[in-house]
Amino acid sequence: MVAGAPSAEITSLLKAWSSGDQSALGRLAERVYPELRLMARRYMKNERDADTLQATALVHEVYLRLLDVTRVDWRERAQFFAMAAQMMRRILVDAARGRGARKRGGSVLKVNLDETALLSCAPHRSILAVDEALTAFTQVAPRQARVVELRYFGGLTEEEIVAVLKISPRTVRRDWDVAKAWLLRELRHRPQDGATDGR
Amino acid sequence: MNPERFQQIEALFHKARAVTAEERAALLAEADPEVRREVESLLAQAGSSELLGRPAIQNAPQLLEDSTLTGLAVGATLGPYRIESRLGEGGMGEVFRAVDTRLGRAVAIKTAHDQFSARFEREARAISSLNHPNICTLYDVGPNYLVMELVEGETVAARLKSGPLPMSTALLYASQILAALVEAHEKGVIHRDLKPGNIMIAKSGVKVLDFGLAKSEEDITLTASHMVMGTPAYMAPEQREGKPADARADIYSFGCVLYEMLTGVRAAFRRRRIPLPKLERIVDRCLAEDPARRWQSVAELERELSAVPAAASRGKRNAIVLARRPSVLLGAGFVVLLLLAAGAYEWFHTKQSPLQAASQGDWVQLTDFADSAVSPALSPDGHILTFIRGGGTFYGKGEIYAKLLPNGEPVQLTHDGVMKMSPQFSPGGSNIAYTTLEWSAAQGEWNTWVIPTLGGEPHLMLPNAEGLTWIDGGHLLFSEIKSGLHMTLVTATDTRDQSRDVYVPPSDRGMAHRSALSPDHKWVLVTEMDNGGWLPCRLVPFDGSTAGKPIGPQSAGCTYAAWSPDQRWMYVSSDAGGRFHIWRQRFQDGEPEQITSGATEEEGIAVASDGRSLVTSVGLRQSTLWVRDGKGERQVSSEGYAAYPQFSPDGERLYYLALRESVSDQLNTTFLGGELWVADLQTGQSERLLPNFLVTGYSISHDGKEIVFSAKDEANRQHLWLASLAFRFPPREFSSPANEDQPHWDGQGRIYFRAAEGMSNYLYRMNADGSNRVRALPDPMLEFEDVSPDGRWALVARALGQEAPIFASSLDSGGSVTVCPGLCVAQWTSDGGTFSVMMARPMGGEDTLIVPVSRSNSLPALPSGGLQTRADMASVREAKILDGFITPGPKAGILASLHHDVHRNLYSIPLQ
Repeated sequence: MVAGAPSAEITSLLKAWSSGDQSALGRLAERVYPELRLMARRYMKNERDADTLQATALVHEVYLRLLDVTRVDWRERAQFFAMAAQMMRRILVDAARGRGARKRGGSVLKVNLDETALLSCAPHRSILAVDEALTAFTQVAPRQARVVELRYFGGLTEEEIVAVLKISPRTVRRDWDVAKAWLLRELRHRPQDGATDGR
Repeated sequence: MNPERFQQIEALFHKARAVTAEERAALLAEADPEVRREVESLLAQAGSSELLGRPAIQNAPQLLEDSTLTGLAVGATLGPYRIESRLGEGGMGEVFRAVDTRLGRAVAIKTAHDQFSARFEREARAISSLNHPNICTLYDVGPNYLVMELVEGETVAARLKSGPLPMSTALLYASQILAALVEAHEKGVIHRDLKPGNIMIAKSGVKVLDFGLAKSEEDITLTASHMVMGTPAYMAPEQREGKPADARADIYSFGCVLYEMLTGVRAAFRRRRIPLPKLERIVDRCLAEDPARRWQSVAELERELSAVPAAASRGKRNAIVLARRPSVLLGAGFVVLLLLAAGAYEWFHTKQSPLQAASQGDWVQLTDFADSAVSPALSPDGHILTFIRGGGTFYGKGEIYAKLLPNGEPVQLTHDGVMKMSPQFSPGGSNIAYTTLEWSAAQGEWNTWVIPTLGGEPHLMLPNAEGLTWIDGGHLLFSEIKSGLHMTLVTATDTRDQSRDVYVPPSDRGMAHRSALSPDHKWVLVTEMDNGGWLPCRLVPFDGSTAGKPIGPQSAGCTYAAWSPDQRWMYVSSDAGGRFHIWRQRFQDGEPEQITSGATEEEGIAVASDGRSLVTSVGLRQSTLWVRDGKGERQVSSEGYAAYPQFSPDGERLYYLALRESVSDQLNTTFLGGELWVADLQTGQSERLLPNFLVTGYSISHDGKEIVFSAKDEANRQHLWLASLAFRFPPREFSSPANEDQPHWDGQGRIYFRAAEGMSNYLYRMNADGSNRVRALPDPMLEFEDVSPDGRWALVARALGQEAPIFASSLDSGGSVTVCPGLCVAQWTSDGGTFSVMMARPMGGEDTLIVPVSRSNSLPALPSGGLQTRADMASVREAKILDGFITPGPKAGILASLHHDVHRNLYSIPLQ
């Protein structure tokens, strides 16, 4: 079956974590993070032209690679996805920070939030901006912010989000709609706020 | 903003979106002004924004590429590699099994005693660019170690300790070694140390190790000083002399390896001759002392070698026919019979042009199960492969698997043991739909289930729905039973609303089992079946306006169909020619052309999203002989394709032929015959008889003392021979000007056989000393199956229109009884006590009818028109029907059984 040690190790860490061993999360992250990072790089390098559900595929790939899925139940699977989405967010944000920092030789806290610009020439900015806005949004609407994290950073599909958050598909859609409207408004209309303002 | 305030805003936002504009205005007017302002500004964001529309990673092209996220740092002495065990000692140091902790991948690590020189490291990096299924990949080069693909298996050197390889195996390995050399030479890498000890036999084929690692004359000195044996037996003369060596040095070494594989003897001695003159010439030229007189390139050598008959001639043959009648071409009638039997008349009329691109050397093996993997499908992003692990290419017991491409471990998703078919991915790739088949009463129930790609509980998606594919926007394409067996292709929503027929098979027993929607959603390729089995695939318009037209080879079964992503090609798995291969045809009016061929069968088609390759299930037929008696069932044959079993009259021994060449190499005009083996059923020991003959047919005399057999002479003609089973006299040839074969003894010591006369075959009879040679039946026939021990009936196949029914012809009166109108194998036990008829079932497998008979009445009463179905078999008095291909023994309670199976694995095949 799925080969040997790494998979078994991850699977048991995941089981430990889901049964309450918080220290397992750290070890799990240590193991998963480099894997995700490596694969994220590969995706970006090889397939940036392909218009497919890359982020989903990426998380799926990490999952299949690292876990013995026959030994993992749905709860643990959901937790894995949640963790992977968090990590993807960290990876992308770290990368965007690094890029901005190198280009400007300094901080990127003030960003121009013109959407066209975000998309066309400064992709790292959109990621940083969403990240900052999402951090703020988490204070007022934690569940809705999770939906965004899972979908936008983790690339999860609706049904996977349903499984992770244990909410109905309708709630997932409604949370996404309101969160998206909220975030877009924040990004469009308050460019001068900077991104560190936690409102 | 606090969470409570947000909840008010959110509630009003959702409410406002659910109502009309008018109602919304009223709703907002009633709200708290601050809440209202918030909600209005949120509603103003409506409409899709690209910003959050796609996952972040897609908004960030290049972001990670030049970031600081470099690969993991190489740490301690062996960097990211965790040593697991020591595998042995190599020329330059120790070899370990290790795990690349970054990828969880098992690797082999070769360490050196000293640091590598800069030049060595540079060259090793060039070698690591070699990527070929027959080359052991060099993954990484450390300061003093090499990280390589871990290949499990034995070396050719170890294999040669037990003698030479069978010709076909030697040629197969040779072609794979050459493929590796072609790849390397193209990249400018010379092996320089090719030898049996550097070639591993892995499950997926041979792998050549240590490319280019013996680099220069200094290295040779080094190697020599470390090796006590000191004979560079496989090195080209120029290498031994320390002169510069090029690609032709590898050709010399290759010649040494090939010679040794064929003869078991080192080329330096040249004590034995290679049996095939053409092959001998090829090897001789490899071994020329002067590089200028050798083959000048491996590509040239590869072409020559592929023209060697045993390696290259690929034909078609029906396994059932072969199992019982390993006979030869006697006039054109025989080939026609075989092709008709295989439902493959068309093959003769369809131009066969297997494309270069599909040569098997380019195939990449994706699964390596000891059993089988079938029905591949690819996720929309092309990264995940799903398939059924099980043997049935239509349906069968098996489980759904998913595998990450290219190198992920296959993951089992279902665990229910239910029969399944046709897995397909959902449009997003996160679910897999598949059909289950469960029998209730006499009727199959075809239901569609769905399971998350990443595992979980399967749930029933649609009952009475088969071969389901998702279209989009909640629309589906699937087959459903309208009544009885009549299965129609329909399209409907996922709640089964708006159902509409797409294609209704004309016969009320017709079943449209699987379908493939064209990329533009205007056409559907359908696989369908009627009572007679699979029909050609069909191209029908999705709007259902017409019944469309058959595509692919006609008069042949088609089990899978698929589209190229650009819709220019239609691909089908068709058994035109007797074996399933992949064909393609231009949409919509092209001619079918064959793109795979050879010994294997290819079924199932998943075309990659770039259209440049497809995944298919590649099967190789195997046949093993088993004996069943009071002690249970045990396997008798070990190697080769077992065929044509016969018991000794006392039931103590079982004779059979072991065909060494793959089955499909047997037809055309090059049927080579098989080795005759006999197993002692008491001791379980087997031995080969008549080692100098490749036997094409044989019969044991009823006293068990003699054998009459047919074999080919050097001019490729069939002759009969008589040999003593007690080794009392050497084999004697019956001289004859014509082809003769298919010998059978009657109970009076006379030999009946088939003889060619002009363009026809006739049944002849003679005494065991060759006297009284006469024609036994006045009319020509195609095949001779058996004669009754009382000498009253002969079982012969005669042409009748396009069919070749088996008749029992009276040797007294000349009258005939139809035994079966189609293909069957009938015979008597040598004591005349049992008559048996074996027939293939339309859906695979065989039934054998066993009827007790007597000397006075050797032919049982058969239904008029002969045996066609299992029900016909059951209608015969005192009939017993056994499952399988059974040869009854002369004693009650003992029988031989041939197990035919196909070992299938998934391969990726490049397309032109």
